Amino acid sequence: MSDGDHTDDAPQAGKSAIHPTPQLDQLEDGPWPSFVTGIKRLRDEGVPGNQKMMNDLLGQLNQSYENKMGYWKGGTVSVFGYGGGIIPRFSEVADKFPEFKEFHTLRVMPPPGFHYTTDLLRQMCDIWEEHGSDLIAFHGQSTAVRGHHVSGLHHRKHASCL
Amino acid sequence: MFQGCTTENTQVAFDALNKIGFDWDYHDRPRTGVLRHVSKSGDVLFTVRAGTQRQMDVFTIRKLADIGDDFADGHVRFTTRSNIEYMVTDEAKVAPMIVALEAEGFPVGGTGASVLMISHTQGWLHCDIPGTDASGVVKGMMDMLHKEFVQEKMPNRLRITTSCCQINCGGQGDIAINVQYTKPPNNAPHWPEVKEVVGRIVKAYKSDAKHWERMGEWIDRIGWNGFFEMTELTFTKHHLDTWTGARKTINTSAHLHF
Repeated sequence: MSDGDHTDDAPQAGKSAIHPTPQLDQLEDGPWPSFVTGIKRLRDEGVPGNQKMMNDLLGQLNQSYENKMGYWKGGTVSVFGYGGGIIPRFSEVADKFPEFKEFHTLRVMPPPGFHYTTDLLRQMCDIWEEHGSDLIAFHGQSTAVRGHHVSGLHHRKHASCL
Repeated sequence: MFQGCTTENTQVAFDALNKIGFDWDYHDRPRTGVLRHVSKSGDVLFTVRAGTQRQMDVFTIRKLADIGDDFADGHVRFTTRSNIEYMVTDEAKVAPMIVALEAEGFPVGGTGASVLMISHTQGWLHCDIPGTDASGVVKGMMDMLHKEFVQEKMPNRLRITTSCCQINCGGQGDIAINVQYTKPPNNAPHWPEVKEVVGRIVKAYKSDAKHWERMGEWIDRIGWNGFFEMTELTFTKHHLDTWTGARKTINTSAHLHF
């Protein structure tokens, strides 16, 4: 399935291709850590295979901010070849943001007590850079590790450690 | 101890923690963002807690891992509200670790009678039925509440959640926020309307609640009339729960959260 992954060998997002994000840009100041700043860094400095996707992520999210609309179609068992643990998302504006047309969450059970070694964190980052989206959420709310988008299929993933 | 398909927490927990054996005598807080646990055998364990942005890029995670290597023997823990915790037995490591975390932009706090990080949902980033965004709203609110995260000056701890629709998968808190953008309006990207309402509630609670009163206990004491007067919020028909099962949910709305 990995040969269907259309972005792994894609060149880095060129400056001219970067989507303007005037709405999201306003979420980078203030004392609390900014998720926008983090995603922009992935767009600019992340692994080459994921930069275009991060660019389209920012583009779609900014469009949501402009229009006050979400643009994801979901499902429960609609990612071919996958069973539990995948939260599928398909973009409704994929024509504008083709690198972001599928962006699924992979949910992973965290260790008991949510204790991690730093080695484990780095392994998860490495795996998710290679197969996922470079974006991970760690929290204990629903017993999982999420990262956005799942590649290795024809699409990208978002891994999350919930 | 867990038995089953997942790992034992002793496999990943800080070695010193295993040695201490989870046999605690008491704990206290030497300062905001730091817990001190003392075991019955006299061992001491310090926990330093810092806030993160929940939707984390790998660069941020590696930065947090580096700090764990430098100060906490390569062990970290995440809380339900996406705070990171580092545990050390050497008190001398606490102060420099705080300096390192704050230098990288991670506020140290969220313990005791503070406003904790707002746990939240996906919003426009990943939800398929969002009424609004989540991460951006929380960023705005935590910028506003940052001061109350890094100090313990509330009557008691204040846990806030926010959800991007009324299903409320964001969970429960002392204040559970369902952001909408039609009634009432809420304007991206700074969300001033929700910040103002939440700010008013936090301010009234802080000024009027007795020491140790949680938000719900304070409202029980002053009554809903008092709540609306004190917060200067307008009571409307939208505040009435008209769901047929409301009597049951209202009667069981005190939550124990694990």
